[in-house]
Amino acid sequence: MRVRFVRSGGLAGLDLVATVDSADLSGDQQKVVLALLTKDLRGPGVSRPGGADQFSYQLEIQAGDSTVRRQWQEDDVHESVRPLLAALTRQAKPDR
Amino acid sequence: MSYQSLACILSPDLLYKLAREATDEHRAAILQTLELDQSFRLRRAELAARQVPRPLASMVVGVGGTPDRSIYDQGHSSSYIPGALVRKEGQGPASDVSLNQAYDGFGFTYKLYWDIYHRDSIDDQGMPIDAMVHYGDVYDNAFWDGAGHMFFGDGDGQLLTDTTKGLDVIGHELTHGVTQHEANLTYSGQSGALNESISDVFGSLVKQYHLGQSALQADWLVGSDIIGPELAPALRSMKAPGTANKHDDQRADMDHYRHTSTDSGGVHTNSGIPNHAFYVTATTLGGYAWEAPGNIWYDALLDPKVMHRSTFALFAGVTLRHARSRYGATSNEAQAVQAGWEAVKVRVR
Repeated sequence: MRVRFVRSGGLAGLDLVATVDSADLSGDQQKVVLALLTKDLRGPGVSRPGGADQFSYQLEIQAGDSTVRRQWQEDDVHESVRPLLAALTRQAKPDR
Repeated sequence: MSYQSLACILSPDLLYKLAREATDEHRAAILQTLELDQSFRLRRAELAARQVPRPLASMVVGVGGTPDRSIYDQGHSSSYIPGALVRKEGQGPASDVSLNQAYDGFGFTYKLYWDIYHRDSIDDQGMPIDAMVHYGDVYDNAFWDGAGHMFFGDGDGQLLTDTTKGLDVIGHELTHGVTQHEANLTYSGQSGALNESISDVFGSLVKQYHLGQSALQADWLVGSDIIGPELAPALRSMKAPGTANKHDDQRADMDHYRHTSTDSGGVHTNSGIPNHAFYVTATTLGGYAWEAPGNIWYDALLDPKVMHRSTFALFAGVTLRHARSRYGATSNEAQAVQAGWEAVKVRVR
């Protein structure tokens, strides 16, 4: 599976992008990717409308002919997804 | 701001009745009064609706002039729950540099708002200033959470470093709170970019006021004290948007407005447009930017016409109206504001 990751926003307003093959992720991270194919995993919903400069995340998972897109605001990320996003952030590069 | 109280003494119903029975000459005068009266009533209602309920105690004892800071150490946790309270208002320095930088930075930020704009903290009612420092693991960001707290990461060393080092960044984050309590600009698209710009403007003014710099002496860079090598020399330039670092994609005028789905609709990209309008206004006038330009922008932020989905054009019109009202219709200040918005190709409404 091909996984495309975008982190945008933050104080810097910089888009960071990474595209990886899920086979290159750790076993735990691969499990999360598989789970995201069927479930929109979200946090407890503490998102506050007045917030500013927080990150937002987008994942695009391509599995065969189908593509699943998931996106979160920083305070809405499910606990189980955080390590995957952290790993992808470390690999990501500025989009420009 | 002053109200013409005479226009509000008689009820609208009575004024309408009088208008029906008056001579032509008097009818015109009464109708003009009614029009004024209606605008004042609307304005008053909007102002009243914006007031956040406050405890009686704060109305009685609050005198202002002193911040109420609490600095927490998050210990690199990503929890939003406050960590250890390390330094409260009036306490001496802690052993940690970042915690002290946050404490001092919020003190300087409070000072600008109090000294120049007579504003008592985030909500103008002495709201406590809570800073959460050492947030997250190599977290390259600082943010306002929408619930009265500001979070500061230590940076990853490449994009950003310790975010408490930036006085303009601290001023930027607190100003998001001020905006939330005033215009409450929706953090998306053009209103979100305006929200971002207001934070850059007052963040820069906090730094300039602290350093005693005139508009011509200031570097008009945002975040130059917190960037890592990848984003050097700064996050943004109000003088020349789009040139602050090799990744800077900020826009400098409406011809290049960016439509995008990322970054809440390009809030940090398009903020370059009103940022540059402020820069042109301030440098056209010279002198200290926190004086006339800052007062005009602050007046506009508090104006009830500026609200959730306000556009650049609406905000521009409000700044020009306040410049004319404060300094005169043909004043240098009004002309500088007009020049600022013309430079970024925003049509003033």
